[in-house]
Amino acid sequence: MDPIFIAVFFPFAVAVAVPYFANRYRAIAAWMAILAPAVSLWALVLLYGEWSAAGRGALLYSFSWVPSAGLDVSFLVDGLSIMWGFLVAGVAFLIVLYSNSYLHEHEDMGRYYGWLTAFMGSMMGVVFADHLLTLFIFWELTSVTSFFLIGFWSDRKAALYGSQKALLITGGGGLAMLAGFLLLGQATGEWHLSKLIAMSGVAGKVSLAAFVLIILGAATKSAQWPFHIWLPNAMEAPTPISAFLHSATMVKAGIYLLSRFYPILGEHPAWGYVVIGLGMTTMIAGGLLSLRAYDLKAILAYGTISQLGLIVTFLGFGGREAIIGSTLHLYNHAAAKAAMFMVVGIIDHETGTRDIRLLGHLARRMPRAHILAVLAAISLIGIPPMGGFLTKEMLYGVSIHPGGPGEWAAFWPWITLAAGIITALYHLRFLGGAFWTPAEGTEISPKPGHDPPSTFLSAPAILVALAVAFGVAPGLIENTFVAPAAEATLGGGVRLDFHLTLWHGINQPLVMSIITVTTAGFLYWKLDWVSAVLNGAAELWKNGPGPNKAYDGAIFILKERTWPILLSLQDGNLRRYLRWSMVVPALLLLGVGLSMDWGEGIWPAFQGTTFIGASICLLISISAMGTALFPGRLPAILALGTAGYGIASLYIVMKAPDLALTQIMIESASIILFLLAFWVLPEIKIIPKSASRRARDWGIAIFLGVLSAAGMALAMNSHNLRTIADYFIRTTKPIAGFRNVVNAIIVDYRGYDTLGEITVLVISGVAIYAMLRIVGTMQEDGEGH
Amino acid sequence: MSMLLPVPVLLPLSTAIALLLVRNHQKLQERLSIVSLAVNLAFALLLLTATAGGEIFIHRMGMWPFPFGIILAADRLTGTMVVLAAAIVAACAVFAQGYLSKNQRREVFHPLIHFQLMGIQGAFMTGDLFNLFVFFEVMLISTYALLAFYYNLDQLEVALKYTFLNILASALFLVGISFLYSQVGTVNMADLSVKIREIGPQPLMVITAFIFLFVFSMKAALFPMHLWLPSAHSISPTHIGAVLAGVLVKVGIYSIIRCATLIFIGPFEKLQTVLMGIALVTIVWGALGTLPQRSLKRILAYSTINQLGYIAFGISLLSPLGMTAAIFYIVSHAFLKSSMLLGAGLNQMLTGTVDLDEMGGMMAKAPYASALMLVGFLSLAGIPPLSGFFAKLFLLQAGFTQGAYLATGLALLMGVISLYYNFTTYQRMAWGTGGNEAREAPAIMYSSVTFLASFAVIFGFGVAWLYEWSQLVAYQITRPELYINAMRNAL
Repeated sequence: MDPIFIAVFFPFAVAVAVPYFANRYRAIAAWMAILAPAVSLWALVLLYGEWSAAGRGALLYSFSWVPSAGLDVSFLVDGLSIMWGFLVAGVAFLIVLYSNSYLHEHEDMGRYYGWLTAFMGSMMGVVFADHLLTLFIFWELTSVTSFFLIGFWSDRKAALYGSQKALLITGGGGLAMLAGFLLLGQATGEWHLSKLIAMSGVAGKVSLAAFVLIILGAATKSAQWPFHIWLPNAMEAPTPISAFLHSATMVKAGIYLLSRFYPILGEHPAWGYVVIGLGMTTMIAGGLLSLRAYDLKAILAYGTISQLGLIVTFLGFGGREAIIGSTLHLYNHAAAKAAMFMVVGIIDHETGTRDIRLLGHLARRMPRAHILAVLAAISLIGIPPMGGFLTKEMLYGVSIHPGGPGEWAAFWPWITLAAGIITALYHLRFLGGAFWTPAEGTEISPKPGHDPPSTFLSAPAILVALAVAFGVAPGLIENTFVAPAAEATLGGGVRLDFHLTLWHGINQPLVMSIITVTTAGFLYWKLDWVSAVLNGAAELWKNGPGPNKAYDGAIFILKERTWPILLSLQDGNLRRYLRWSMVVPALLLLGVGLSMDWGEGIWPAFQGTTFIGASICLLISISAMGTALFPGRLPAILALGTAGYGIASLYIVMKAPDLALTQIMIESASIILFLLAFWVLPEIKIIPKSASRRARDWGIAIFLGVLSAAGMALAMNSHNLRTIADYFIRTTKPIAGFRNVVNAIIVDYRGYDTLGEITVLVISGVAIYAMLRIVGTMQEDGEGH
Repeated sequence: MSMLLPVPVLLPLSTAIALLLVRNHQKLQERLSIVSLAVNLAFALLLLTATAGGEIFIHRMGMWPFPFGIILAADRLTGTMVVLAAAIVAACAVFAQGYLSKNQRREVFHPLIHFQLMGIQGAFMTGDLFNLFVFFEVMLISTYALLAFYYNLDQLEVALKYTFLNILASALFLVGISFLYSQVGTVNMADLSVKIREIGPQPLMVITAFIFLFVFSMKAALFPMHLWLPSAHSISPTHIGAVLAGVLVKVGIYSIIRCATLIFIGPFEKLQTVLMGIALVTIVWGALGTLPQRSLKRILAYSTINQLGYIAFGISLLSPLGMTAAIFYIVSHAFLKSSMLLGAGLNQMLTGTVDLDEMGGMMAKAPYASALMLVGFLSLAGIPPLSGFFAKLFLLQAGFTQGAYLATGLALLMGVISLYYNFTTYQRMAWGTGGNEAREAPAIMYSSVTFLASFAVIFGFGVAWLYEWSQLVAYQITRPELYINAMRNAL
């Protein structure tokens, strides 16, 4: 089996097996779970070898699934997917390692590791998928599995809310993306990413709608403003999950999608405006929101949103430098942010809170966690010798000479600089709030806290070490992972050869970095001012619209406001149901009828009417009205009978004596039955209807009556073709051997119908039998009526 | 095979009579009933394999020539629908074995489900419009008796509503048949097809076609004729609700397909527009209706309305792709929804309630039962790679290919609501703590739910089997001349 299939599908196998074993042998749950990323990593190493041996191009693996619908399960292995594969599996490995210390003994480990490994498999599928629908399938699976992970502590209300919100926004965005894919596939006739990348001029064939729909998928997943609102609520997940989903994987799936589509849609005229606009807004908004959060995880969540905005912005700029920078930044951000989340998990675990107002001076009690947090934070701020410094410099450089639409180019460096300053500031606030300054009030954390055992610290330590390594020795990854990934993103067979160093002289980016750090330092010193300004702004905007209000409002409208509308019809009132079922079709029929050209019109239809026929019809109508009008039962039954006998006399006028006879029999029998039944049944009180209701009901009745009469008249008048009746008349005697055509039809030509009708009678009998039986047993039980 | 076409009617009929005769021997009656359902299912599968090759089987009742007598016909669509009916009714009957305690009037239950099965299968087998009416009546009256099974006030009310509305539809059916007969003088479906094309879409014929649309909409619970469905699903005994959702509504859908692909073919653009409109309103109505409910069964009922809208949308595209999607959807939804209603019944057995506010924590209390429900919810929400996802996917593809962008977009948008109600319902049911304590349920109930739910997985990973079959069905029904010629040339 090709290693790619092992890399993608093995985690799913583990996901199915873990819950089964975990409930029996709790000790091995974590060891089974770690197999998933471990085996995937091993398969990726093999795959990397295969791919290098094949000249680092694009390798395709596929097996057919629904050949008739052009659907296959196919994987694309190129620089981009290899890099992402290692990122996902690598972080997953550390997360499982960390989870083992984090989870309490009594937690449902089967469920935890099951969904976690399933999520990991889905992410692997997303980054390797070649067929658009394969990509969508794994994409939607990441939304679903993350729903179960966010809601892992399912007895918390906030977990329900957070998981729903994440699912609706990312899953809904996924559906938009599916529509975009379908339109893209339709426009180009091609479903494989590898072919789409190779195809030229795809961007010109894709409609704006398809483009926007695909971007929506990426924007919702990557928590771009205004879809970022799900991410803070998703922090209800256990911390390792947050570290995994919200640092390295799920939120980065949108980044992956944009990188993957860069060579396909990068030329689209809307690309620059839409992607840069999203990214810039998100970058600034995320940073500002982070400054107002008090929960350590929320600070990190908003920080992540801001960082994602940054990466999106650079994908929007496009071009060689921007792509290399954002690719490298993925690594740095993944390593440092996951490490910070893990440190938060440790703080939460050891002190019992994540609120910076309750935490204080942890630097003294948790020195090792402190060091890890500081190193991770300065990487994200962009201070040497961390990897983050490298990428921040590159991105500052790009912002001075950006690609994309030129109109606004003068603003980009300033906005990027502002984002950089905000980023530095919220990281300082994070460190200060947790480690440096005392708790704000008299209330403090439930437990004083101390450094955890080394096993708990090992995973973040590895990540921080990587963050350092990326800065000190970028050569480790630059030509093994970053360059191939950037080549694949740029597309068109570009070959990159570059060498990154921490120090490249005094230039504009370095000046920008220095401004960033000094300004952030100053602002941190005056943090009270910053908070006052931000809180003032928030106070002003308190009643203004916002994405969270829009989401909650939409849910409220859907759940509370639509039901009364539905209920106004669907209220269980049979009379209303009947009215609707009669009037709506009747009106539609009338509308359709009036909209058509009837040729000679309706009036000739009545030409053959005789005086006697018309009189009988009048009698029938009057009797029918009488049935409704008479207050007592007896007169109503008699009126009904009159209508029936009227129909029988119509048959006589039309020279159909056997039909008339049958009708008379039926009418007489039913009148007698009615009379007998009502003899026994008690009198019921009829509640008089109001005049307006009576008028309405009469209106409906007359409308329907006239409509059916008109229809019937038209039908009578449109004998276009010979009917099958001639055959029956001809063959009744010679073939069927009957003297009476009606009898022959009932028992021979259409005897099968009669069988059915008899069965209807039998079933009614059975139903009545059953009813009588139950009435009997009720009386025996003494509860009869 | 042709000689055997009456079996799907005669076998349940004779079984029902036999069951009535042995009603005092409970064990014997049960065994006989189950054996007959098994034989019926075996025959249905035989029919399915026989029709697979593309041959359309014809049986002339009383050997009267085309188009004068009643003619039974079985093509791939018939085979498919009969298998659905046979399998789901059998699973529901088995489920009911664990459900009905000894004194709860089993003696008429088994005969009635065979009568109902006779009505359903008879409707699928017939090639005669009036005969279809007759089997509708058989279905109606037996369903009435089953809906009001315990004769408590709620059920009587539901049964009464069901009956009133469906009798209205029956009357309209008769009006439609008489309109048709006066215009073209025949009731055989193939003959109707030929003659209606001969005289063309005259105004009255368009009106007639509309009448049939409304008649079958009542059975298929499409807006505005869907009003009876929610309470019929949720208040009736579980196994009846499951047959209703899985099979009975599909009889209406089946009839609409026959109208659209056989009887009223030709330029009936207005009809297509109205059907699409009806489908979209149904989709929206059903989706929104699920949101405020407390009863698990009522959510499933509104969801059925929602799903039927999707199926009707597929039909309204009137293209081979749309039909393929609709057939796929019908099969997928039939198994899915009946498994979920039985699953709801299972949960009712375990917790004593279908009220979601009284449930909760089922995940921990009854892991297997909630896993079964989870499969259903995921598939219903259209999560890949389960069958419900592919059903929606093929529908969207068909819609976009047709260029119906707005309508398809709306259908897709409702997919978000479907995500919402499926996942939140599962949350309310399975997550958290609290709720009633779980009791035990007989293994036989688990097995029938598992049987039905497994198809969500089978037709998900094995999507190719059902998709290719749906294509074969769609290929055949979109070529009405195949059906007509088979009828004409029948011996």
